[in-house]
Amino acid sequence: MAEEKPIVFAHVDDMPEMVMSIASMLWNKTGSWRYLRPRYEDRVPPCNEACPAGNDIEGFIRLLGEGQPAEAWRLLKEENPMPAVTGRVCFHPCEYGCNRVHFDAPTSIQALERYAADHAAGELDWAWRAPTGKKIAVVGAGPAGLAAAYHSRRLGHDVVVYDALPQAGGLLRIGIPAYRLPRDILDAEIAAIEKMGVVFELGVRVGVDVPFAKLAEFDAVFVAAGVHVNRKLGVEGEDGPGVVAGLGLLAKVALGEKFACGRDVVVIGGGNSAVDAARVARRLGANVTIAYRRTKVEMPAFEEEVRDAEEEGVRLELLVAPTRIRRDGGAVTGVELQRMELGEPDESGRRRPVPVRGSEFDLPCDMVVAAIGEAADLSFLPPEIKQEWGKIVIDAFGLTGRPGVFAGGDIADPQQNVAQALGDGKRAAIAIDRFLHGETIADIGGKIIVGERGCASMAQYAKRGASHAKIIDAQHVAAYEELNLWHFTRAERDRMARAPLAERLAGFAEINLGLTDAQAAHAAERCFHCGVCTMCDNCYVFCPDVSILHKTDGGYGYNIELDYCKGCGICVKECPRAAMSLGEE
Amino acid sequence: MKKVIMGNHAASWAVMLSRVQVISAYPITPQTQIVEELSEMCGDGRLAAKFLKVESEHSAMASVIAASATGVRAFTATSANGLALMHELLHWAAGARLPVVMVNVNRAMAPGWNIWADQSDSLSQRDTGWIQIYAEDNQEVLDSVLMAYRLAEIVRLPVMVCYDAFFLSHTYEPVDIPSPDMVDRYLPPYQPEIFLDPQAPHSFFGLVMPDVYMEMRYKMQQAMERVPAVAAQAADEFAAIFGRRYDMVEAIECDDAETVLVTSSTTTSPARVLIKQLRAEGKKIGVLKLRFFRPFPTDEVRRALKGKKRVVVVDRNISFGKGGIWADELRGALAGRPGMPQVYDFVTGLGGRDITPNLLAEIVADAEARKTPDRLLYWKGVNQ
Amino acid sequence: MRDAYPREELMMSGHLACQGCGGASAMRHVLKAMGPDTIVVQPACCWTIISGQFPYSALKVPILHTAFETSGAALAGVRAALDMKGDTTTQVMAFAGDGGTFDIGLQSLSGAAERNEDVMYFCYDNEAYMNTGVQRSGATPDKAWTTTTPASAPKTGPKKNMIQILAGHKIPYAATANVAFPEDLIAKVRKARDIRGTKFIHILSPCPPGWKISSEQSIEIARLATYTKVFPIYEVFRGEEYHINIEPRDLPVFEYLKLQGRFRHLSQEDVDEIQKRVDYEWRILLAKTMQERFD
Repeated sequence: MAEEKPIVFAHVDDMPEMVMSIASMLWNKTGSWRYLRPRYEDRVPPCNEACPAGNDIEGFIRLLGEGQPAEAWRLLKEENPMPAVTGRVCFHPCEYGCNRVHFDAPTSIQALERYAADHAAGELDWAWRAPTGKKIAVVGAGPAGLAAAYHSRRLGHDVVVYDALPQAGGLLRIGIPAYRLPRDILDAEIAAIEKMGVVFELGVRVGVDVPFAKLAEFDAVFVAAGVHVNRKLGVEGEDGPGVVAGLGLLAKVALGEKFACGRDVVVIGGGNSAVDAARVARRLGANVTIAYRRTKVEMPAFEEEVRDAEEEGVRLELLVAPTRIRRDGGAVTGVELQRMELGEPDESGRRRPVPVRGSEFDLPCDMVVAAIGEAADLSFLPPEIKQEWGKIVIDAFGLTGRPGVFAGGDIADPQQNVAQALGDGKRAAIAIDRFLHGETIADIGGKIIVGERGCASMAQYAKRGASHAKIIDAQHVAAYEELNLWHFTRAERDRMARAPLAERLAGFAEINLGLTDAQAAHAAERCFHCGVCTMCDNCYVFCPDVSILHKTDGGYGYNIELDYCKGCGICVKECPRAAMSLGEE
Repeated sequence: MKKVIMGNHAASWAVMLSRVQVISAYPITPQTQIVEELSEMCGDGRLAAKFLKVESEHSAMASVIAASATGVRAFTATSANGLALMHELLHWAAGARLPVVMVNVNRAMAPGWNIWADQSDSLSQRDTGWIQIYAEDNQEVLDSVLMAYRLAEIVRLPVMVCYDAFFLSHTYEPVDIPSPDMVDRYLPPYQPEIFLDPQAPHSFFGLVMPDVYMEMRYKMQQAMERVPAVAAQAADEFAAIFGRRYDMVEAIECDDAETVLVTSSTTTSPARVLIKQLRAEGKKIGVLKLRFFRPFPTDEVRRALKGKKRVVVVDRNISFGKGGIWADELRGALAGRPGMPQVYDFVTGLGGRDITPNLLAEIVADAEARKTPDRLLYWKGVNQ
Repeated sequence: MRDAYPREELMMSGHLACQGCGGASAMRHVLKAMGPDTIVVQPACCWTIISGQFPYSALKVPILHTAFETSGAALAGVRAALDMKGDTTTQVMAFAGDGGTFDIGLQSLSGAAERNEDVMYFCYDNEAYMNTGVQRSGATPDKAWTTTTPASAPKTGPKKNMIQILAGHKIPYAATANVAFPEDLIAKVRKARDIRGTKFIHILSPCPPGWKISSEQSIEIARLATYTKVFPIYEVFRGEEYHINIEPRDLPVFEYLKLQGRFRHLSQEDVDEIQKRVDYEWRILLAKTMQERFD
């Protein structure tokens, strides 16, 4: 009964004898009734925009939800060379951007990333570009350098990575202790990059062992040497034995070098290095106090780290700053601290600590760890590479003033964290690729970032590897207000198992033990998939005009029958995740 | 076999012999014995049918329409106010072109409540599209129901078989009840081509726009116009099997008559008695019995009455503001034709008042005393 | 994917329902659950028009259009005829509006229910005579605007409780349903099909022009009717055993009323009164779920 034209009876004898139907209503193209029409319009999930490394978070969680952890891992590897690392140590800004935070609690994105990475299986298809014959030098084997090397290699270039340390990894190796990032996990991620044919020249310091000018032999250079120069406390008694740099302590322990820890240790500083150094010292048997000039809530270190440190017996001495280190016969006997109170906010927005006159007191100790930040050593760079505020000056994609020289990571980026470094490396790899092909990044840069303010997307750039073979071209980020929350139910976040407290201090074994399969399945279900069609069928079920149909070839998504769609808008309204829009024809 | 049965039971027997499959009815005096007997027949298995004991006549007709549309032979019976309650659905059954057969026991319309013989109930359903047949005796009741199914299933219009309350419904007369074999030879199983069928789905009786509605009504009129030929054929076949003949009219001693008494239903019986008497006295008088009200037997009436001097119509009914309904229809059939008689209309017998041969004699004398019918209708029996 | 939702379409596009019509959604879901071996009895209502004019039909199952008040009787007639033809598998269903169920059709429905006819009866309730232009019916809620209960004299008195009426007939199954919860509706239809006797399902079906809402809000508002307890979703077996199928939310009726133009004229007192009544009826319903059963 698929007649497309209305029936006209020429003669009364042609008509049926009684009032009855002989055809369908399909000739009646009710699409002519509408003045607005629905469209499927994938939008950017806020987690994707929030991720500094540019992961397709919604995509990988969807694959986990479909029971495909290996595929989820593969999708993560399209954007991020080390999901097993970030799944453990990233400060997960994605979870703060997750829309579910307004509903009950954010999706457990980091735990799921770790789960996917821990279930990695099979080979990666990385050689999808023909070799270009171009050579790139990467200075620094930390996360920024590793990401630049990984992505450049995938883009078909030859890569050599130089690093002064005997092992690759940068701060991942020497700055993050094994109980947060197990050595074998880190080794495996780096080995995978090496297996791609990236050449590592370790124990080679550019500017000392290899002059920077020699790197002109390469077609492009990416500088990501990081920040390893410890900031001095600037107090009397600082020089001499018994006062160590936070990073120095961590590096020695990480590289397996001998280190004699004090019995009573005071760590000055409130960042991750300070807290890590404190917790390592605890494992080496010391009583440890962290001394920080502001309050706990303002400590830059991750909340979970601070909480874990306290659980492990690290004391916090807050609103104090060192004025002098006491020595007796050369050995450290204590640190003099002055109490602070919070005054007006500084340029970071945090309230500036103001010394309280006459409040000095002595904290006995035999070792002081200075962990108040690190700076970059920029001495090896030629003068054309502009510097400012102790960092290399770069644009959004890592271009320095000198053509062919790019930079990223802590040496150039004020946002000093692993995910940001990974993002820097990827952006630079893309910009280098453009440069090597004689193009600029400026004309496409805006089109390949996720949302309006996110990281660059390799899927967008190379037009490959997106989830469900679909690349979200949009800039519009799906906002919480655009979701239809009636279609979601409240569910608690899953808590992964952790090593018992009593066992943690016994050594450097990993503390967080990962989600179980059942937990991961549940955690993946909590994802709203903001802005991306998951074929939940709401539009199909609620359409009163049978005008939204599954594709007959079994392909992903739906067809809107525009001949009949009356433009009522129910499909758009009932889409739980703002993956449709209603607009003019 | 011959049995002495009441008119209502004659109807029941006919329904059973017709192998009706769905019956739906609501009780109303004087129809009740029809359905009571049918309940017995269903109960003891003589009749394989579903009997829906619905909660009103309107629902009775609605369920019979639905059953017929599903492709089975269906039946209902009612009277007076019950028939009036069905009115909307009488239009529906005819418009739906469904071969439903209904027995209507002619009873007076309320108010006041009067359960006795009067034809106004069915005659006032004139325009609903139903074929209407009026029976004179219990044998004719049974035979008319059988012929009604035959006729309905060929022309696809519903048929109403009417007979007088109490004079026939409750009066016992000898009736020759045919055997099932004979009836099966006359009335084949009902097997429509089009019906409610999920294998061949259609939407029936829905919305019809102005540009096609008239054509549907045209087809109904066409079906009505086929009735005389089909009825004649059905009568031939009936006579051949059962030995009894029923045409749309019966002319009794009309050939050389000057005066013709026009009657219907049980009024015909005293008329037969009267003209025997009057003929013996040398009067040239005949009786024209009208069996069909719809379609009106126009040709037969013109043929029978041409050249007659006067026609005296006996109407046990009235259409207020005009007159007796049979007379009115007859006048219309004869109008404008050359050589047609004067028509005298007598309204009498309403609400079950007896019509005897003597009463008819007075009516004939009254008519013959007037040179022309100076009034549209004359009342007989009201002290005016 | 909503795996429980059947894929075969027995309702086609091109039908004449308004944008966002709840009755169109209801028919689609019901037919999917009933399957192709179904005959639809269709009294006068919006669906008389929606199904299309002669000589067309928007459905892939047969429709018997019937007079306004006759659904119950027509159902019985079709069922009796099918049984006499030896067809015990074809299902018969009525798809009637609220007018043809609550008011003019109540008698024949009551007759069929009292005789426990083996039929399915669906009432798609848009709470007024919408087909003829939004006149009030026995299903119009208290204080609502309609064209015959204008804002100067809105409808007074509660909506008739059809489930209570049919529970009083002790039919084997009576239930409410809602176009906003299609899986519940489909599960109920499937369950009812296997029950012999009269089954009645009352489906709340919003009407954008009649309720004065925008078409895209149709499902949202239906959902809120249940979540605010204005239209609870429950089922009754044999008139005695009550089960609530969908938990309402802790939402005041104002959340439901405020979205509809037909309630725009309400004062705060009106809203409070409605809230009190809704809360009361909910407590009564809860008590019914705990009442003693016959067997």
